[in-house]
Amino acid sequence: MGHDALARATPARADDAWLHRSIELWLPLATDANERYDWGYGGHDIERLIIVALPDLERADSSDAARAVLWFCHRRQHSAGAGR
Amino acid sequence: MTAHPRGNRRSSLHTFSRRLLIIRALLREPLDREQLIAVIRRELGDEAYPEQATIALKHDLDALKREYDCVIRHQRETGRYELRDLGKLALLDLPDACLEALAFIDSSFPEGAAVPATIAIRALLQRIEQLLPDERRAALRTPSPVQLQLGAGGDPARIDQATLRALRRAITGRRQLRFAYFSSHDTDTPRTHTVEPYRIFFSDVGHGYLDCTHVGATPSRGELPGQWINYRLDRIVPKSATVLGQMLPPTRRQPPSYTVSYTLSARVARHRNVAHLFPHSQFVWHDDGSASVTATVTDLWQARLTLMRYAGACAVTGPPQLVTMMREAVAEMMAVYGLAGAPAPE
Repeated sequence: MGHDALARATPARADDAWLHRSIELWLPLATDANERYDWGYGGHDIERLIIVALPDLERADSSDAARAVLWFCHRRQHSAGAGR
Repeated sequence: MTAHPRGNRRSSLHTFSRRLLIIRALLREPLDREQLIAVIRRELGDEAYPEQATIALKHDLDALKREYDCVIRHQRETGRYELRDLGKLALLDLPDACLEALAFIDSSFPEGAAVPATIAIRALLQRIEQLLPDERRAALRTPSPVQLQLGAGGDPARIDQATLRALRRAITGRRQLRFAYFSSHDTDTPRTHTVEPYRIFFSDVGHGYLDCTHVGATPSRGELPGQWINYRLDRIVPKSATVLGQMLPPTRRQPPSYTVSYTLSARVARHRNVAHLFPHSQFVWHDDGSASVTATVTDLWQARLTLMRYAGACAVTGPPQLVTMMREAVAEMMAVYGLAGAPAPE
């Protein structure tokens, strides 16, 4: 899901400032997950992962749930890439 | 008629395998009659069922219910069979440590969450629980005196669930929120904060935060209306959160954003696998192994906290406010370690 899809998922909020703030807030956890699970994402890939996962991340009620969201999102992206 | 003990043994083994296969297939998902027969034939060959496969399948299902106390319901509307309880075939016994790990996951991903990732985890837990014998299922529900620690997962139990619900209500309803809060400066009495709440997020060390625009605090400690503040969820006093009638503005008041710049020493940057800690980070790698980094942030307090992880391997060069904050933090640490009079490093 790219920027357009995110805009549909979070109407009236997915402006640049909103997105920038979202990335800023979720980056420490996403970076930690990237290192912990050895996903090998570069910086911009992590930002993209956050953007794709954002609608679900915003509903997470614990850091474990947020990690699970990132995990599933990573797997989905990975299998979509492998299927091409 | 001559008895054929070896043939009978083979036949009953075959029947047993078929019945186990039915259970295995139903554990995955409810299936209708034709699908079950197809699974059996695919795994055990076409001869697994005689011509009257439907009747034979019914015998198998009846036997599973009668002999093994399995609870298998036929869903009339879909024509599928659903495995509700494994009865005597609940064969997954687990050591206490594994049960405790399971209980930890269970409490970390409670029922009712609407996030797809956690729905999948709930489904997995339900399957595993289904495979446990009754007494182990009961043990799973009994609090253990041993507390499992899984590192950076945080402690979701410390976040008051009623508070979390009130916060969600305020965010979804776009309404102001008031709550009593212990900041790190409030040691005895919490202060009352009124905020415009926008989202909940979690840090890498497991803390949950409410991302807000500050409206007011009583008494005030210098917080400015319009300032963006992250409140720790576990420091909001339980039962104090009240959703107010005042609506949020149509668009959030924008905070200032800052260009953060810092240099990482060769000690951490030499291999060029430096963590990407801020949005739109730009790295310039130097010949001596060090790196200069620039990024844009809206939260200097968070940036300070993040960069402190590098200790002496990071020198912040901008913006001036962040340089001041880092100096203050370092001075505080020097005082803590009795180095208040130490000369500043070259």
